Amino acid sequence: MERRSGTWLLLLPLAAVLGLFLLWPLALVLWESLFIEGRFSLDNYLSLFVRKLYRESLTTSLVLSASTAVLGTAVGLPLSYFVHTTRGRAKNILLALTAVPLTLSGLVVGFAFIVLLGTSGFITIILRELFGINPLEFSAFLFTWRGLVIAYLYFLIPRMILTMTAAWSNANWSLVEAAVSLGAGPVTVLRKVLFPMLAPAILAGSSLLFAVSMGAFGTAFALTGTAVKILPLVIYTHVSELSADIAKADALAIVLTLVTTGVILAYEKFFTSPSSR
Amino acid sequence: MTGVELRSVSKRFGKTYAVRNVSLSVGKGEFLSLVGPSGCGKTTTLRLVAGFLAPDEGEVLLNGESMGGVGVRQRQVGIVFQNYALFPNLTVFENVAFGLRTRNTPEDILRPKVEQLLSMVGLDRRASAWPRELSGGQQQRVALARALAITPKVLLLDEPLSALDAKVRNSLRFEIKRIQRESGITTIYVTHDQEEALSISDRVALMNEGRIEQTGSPRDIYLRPANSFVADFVGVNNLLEGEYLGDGRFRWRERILSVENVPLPQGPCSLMIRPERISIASRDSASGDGNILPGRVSGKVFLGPLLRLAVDVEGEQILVDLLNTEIQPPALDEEIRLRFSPDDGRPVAGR
Repeated sequence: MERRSGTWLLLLPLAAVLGLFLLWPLALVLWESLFIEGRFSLDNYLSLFVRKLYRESLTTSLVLSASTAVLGTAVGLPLSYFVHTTRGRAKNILLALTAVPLTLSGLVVGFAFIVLLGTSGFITIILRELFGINPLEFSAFLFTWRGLVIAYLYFLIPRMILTMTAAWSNANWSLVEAAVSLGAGPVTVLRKVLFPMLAPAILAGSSLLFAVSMGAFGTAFALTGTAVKILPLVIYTHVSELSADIAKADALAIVLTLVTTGVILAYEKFFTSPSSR
Repeated sequence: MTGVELRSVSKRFGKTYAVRNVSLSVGKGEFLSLVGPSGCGKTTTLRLVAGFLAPDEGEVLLNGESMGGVGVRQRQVGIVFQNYALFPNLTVFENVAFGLRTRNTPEDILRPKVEQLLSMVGLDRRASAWPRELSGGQQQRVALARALAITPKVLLLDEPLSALDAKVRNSLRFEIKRIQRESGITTIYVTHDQEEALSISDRVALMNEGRIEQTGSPRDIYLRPANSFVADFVGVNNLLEGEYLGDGRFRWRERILSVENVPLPQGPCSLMIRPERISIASRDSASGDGNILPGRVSGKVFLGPLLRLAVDVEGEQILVDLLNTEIQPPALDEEIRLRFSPDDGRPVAGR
């Protein structure tokens, strides 16, 4: 009995922090989104499906996040294997370099891309001198959602690499050896052994990538201002501009939270026990 | 005809030799154990036979054919790993069927074959189970059935029982032996456990520092170790450092002991005396043709059927195993006289 109450005491600080800084603000946001002038109403949410701006921003956010998740996984997976097979000092250097983009503010990443690929960016100028490209046409790309995909990948690929490096070192290589000794070729090994073995980590990594790019704000803001309509930027315009509409922003924030939490929950439900289907 | 043959095989990792000039031949259908302390090269040797590693020098032959340039996939070897290595996303049945499916075996041949293998390892009723639903011992049986499914030229087992608890280990040991005898497949069994190696094998190769120290039947290795390393590694042993004087005489400290007459050159060597071959001489008995060593009991361990005494003889600790039927074992600190006959003292060469 004493032990149990002791455990609860130890959990108190965590519960307090979570309650104060996560649950309470979230509850406030939900409350504000559901009550218009003191009366309960779903109007804020209904308008999200009616108004073109909201529909578009939700779609753009989903497409952007899905693209970065797929591309980030496709690029990060082979790179993570490369990092895993590197040995000694080189591996430590690679891992440290991988961690650098994670420490940078999104704004810094955005400006770095402008400096490199913007209209008068370093690479743009070089390409103009060498191939005579039109800087305006070339860098216009950067300020669309497709440009955001490239910029996001800069800090998403490292996340994939770090997730997968752990998976590679936990991988059971005798499964591969067993399969080869039983006559399996590279395709069978990939399909029946490696993929099932790594699938949970790959899905965990890509869910993470998806969730992070759903919520990323700084990079998009630095590159496009509020020109590209994605959820975080639309929320920003609703809380900051003259035409502030806090209730709509609240509803959008709730939708954003639901989508990201949904992705993580779906991952937990389906992929924590791979052979329990 | 030999099932497996290694001809002067060496394997280096960087500058260190993991396996150095090893020659070994395993007869068809023979059960050979590679045993030795960790890092002795036994697993490297197994991986050279499997084809996961290629020798730097020498040659590996399976059923008389050179395996130079032949990959693991083509070698047709069955491998059982220490950690079972069952495919977690496949059922027990599909695990065993794996090697047959890669060979595109038709379903009407595959199904009875897998069922027969599963009943051989006593798991015919668990065919649709997932590996994680089985105990460690059951998983290792599945792994064994899976390795045998491809009718391998040689079965390679790498510490297959090390992850299991003692009771399962003992029963599975006999089962592996039975299945091997029935299937008649050439088998190489790697273990660090000398007792396991001696109990299961037709022949034992004892390795140390990348070389084979001695190859022989379990009885040979136990009774006639080639040198003091083997004597020390196999079973519990007393090894006294002294000098062989030739003609069955051995000098230990101030004493001349009469020992087995072995064809060893005169000079420094070790005298091996098995603890179970030493007895306690009554206080007044004459020595006869035996050797008498007076000492003091410094420790006692109860081992079930045996009572193990540690006896201090002139500062050297000598272990003595007595059957626990002895009436009135000596007390701690009691002065006693140890006796062993000349046949039970065997001079062995140092290394």
